[in-house]
Amino acid sequence: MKKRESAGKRMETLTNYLFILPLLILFLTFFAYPILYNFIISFYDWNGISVTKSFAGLANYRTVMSDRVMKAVLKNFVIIALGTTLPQAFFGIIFASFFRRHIRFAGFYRIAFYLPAICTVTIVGNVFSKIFETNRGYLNVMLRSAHLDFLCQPWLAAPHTALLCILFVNIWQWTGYSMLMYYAGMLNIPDDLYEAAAIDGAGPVQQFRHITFPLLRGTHYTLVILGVLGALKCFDLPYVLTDGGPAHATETFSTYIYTKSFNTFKQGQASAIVVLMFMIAMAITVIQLKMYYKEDRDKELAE
Amino acid sequence: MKNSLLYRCLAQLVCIPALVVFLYPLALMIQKSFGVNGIANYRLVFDYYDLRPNFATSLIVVGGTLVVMAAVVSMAAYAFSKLQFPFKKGIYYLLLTAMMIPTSAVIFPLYQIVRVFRLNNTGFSLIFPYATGSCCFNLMFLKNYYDALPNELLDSARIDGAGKWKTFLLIMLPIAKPGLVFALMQTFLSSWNELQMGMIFINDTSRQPLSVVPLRFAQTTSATGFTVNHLFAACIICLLPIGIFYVFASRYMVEGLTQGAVKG
Repeated sequence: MKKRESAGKRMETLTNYLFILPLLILFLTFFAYPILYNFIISFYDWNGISVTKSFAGLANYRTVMSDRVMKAVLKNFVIIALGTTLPQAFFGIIFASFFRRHIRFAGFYRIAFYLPAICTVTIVGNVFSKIFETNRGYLNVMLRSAHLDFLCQPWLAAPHTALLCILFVNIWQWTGYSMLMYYAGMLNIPDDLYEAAAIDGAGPVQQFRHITFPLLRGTHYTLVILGVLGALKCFDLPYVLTDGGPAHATETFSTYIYTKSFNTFKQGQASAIVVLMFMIAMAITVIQLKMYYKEDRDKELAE
Repeated sequence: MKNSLLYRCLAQLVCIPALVVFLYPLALMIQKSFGVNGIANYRLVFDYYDLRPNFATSLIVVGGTLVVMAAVVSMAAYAFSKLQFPFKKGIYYLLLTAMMIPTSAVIFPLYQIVRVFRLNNTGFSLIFPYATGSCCFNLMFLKNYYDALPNELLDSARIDGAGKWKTFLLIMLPIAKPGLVFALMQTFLSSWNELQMGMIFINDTSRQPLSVVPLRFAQTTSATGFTVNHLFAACIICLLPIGIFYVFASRYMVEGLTQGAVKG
């Protein structure tokens, strides 16, 4: 009797595994295997095409670590992470709190502000490269016609303005996403909290500071994680606007790996950079999980 | 909530300039696309480019991704929320790490697989990588959604004699629909607009997805004699399908986010 019961139990566990099996197979094929592959290739000298490859030990890592471009890549990662996540969250939460208080045209604004987020990045790239173009670009033409010639810049052609342009377009495109997340978070905050605060004489600013902002902790946190990882993944905009240039000023992990793999055919080095990037991503994940567990424990204690 | 006059004026003073900034590039593109020759710009684009195969690729890729994603992730999210099995938490967090892995970290090995199976230059090469990424991205969101559904539902289904699969298909899945709809819409947007894998796995320009095609417009302007007006007309054509999708989808976006608990 007991034996049959345990056999039934085992059957049940097996059927439960069937529910996650498809996802597990996809994960192993399309994420785990490629990471492992890159890890192995990072110890070889290989152009990515020929049949033979020679073992190189840590040479690829040494090359990559002493590479001046990698310094630019790391610097850009930090700049993009901070320079896009914070402004997007700042504007996003301001717009969302306006809409939560039902200002006029809120519905229209919400749809319009999210519009850039649905636009295909290659199209965004085409428009903004016409706007930022040095000689006949719309921005410089506008500045000249306003007699502000001294403000004209070779926007995408000069190293430090090029990175600013990438930041600007990124903020332009993704502020709507932060806005939407904050707005959804705010809808989950019950109206009576605000009503009670209003009775106690709290104005909109105080309500925002003491109710809205602290209760959106989960959303702040999600957006920061997504923003930092977005900076790590950042490929599309630099690729279409500057192709990592001028002089690697807008090079990111992803554009550099792409160049190494598919243009200069240094797959060993590309894989070494992948491994470094992967380790950064995992470090971020571990920090995230730590915070998650801590929150879980806080909740348990609170209950 | 009553807003004071000051608050209302201030809000509009912030929103109106923001509206100009957000819409200017799009308005510029539309206005210039009709510049000089009007609608003839669009006709010239269609004379030069046959975009139907590109559109077909995009449809195959997005359609396939949505089907695979919906089937795989709703099962997995349900299991992680309501079923018990060993190593549940460990596997769950392992799957979530996939969310953190950038495309460029997997693209070269996947390209090798795609070539071995001779899937390059077909939409099928993109379906499974896209679906996997979206699954891991939506797993947490959907699991939280299922978590919010009461366990009593499961118990009463069991008492009524419904098996595990029946309970999942007939009871849990229908209730979780708004959450799934939101996940489907996000997946639609991200897989329609993906660039990096699309341009590497499909390098035959006549068959690339619509998200990759605009790269070609700018590169070939000297050969085709396209002016900026034609370029923007071509961009508008490529933007149209996703724009139409957004018009219909925008109302469901906030709905899907708020009905399920977004506590993650």
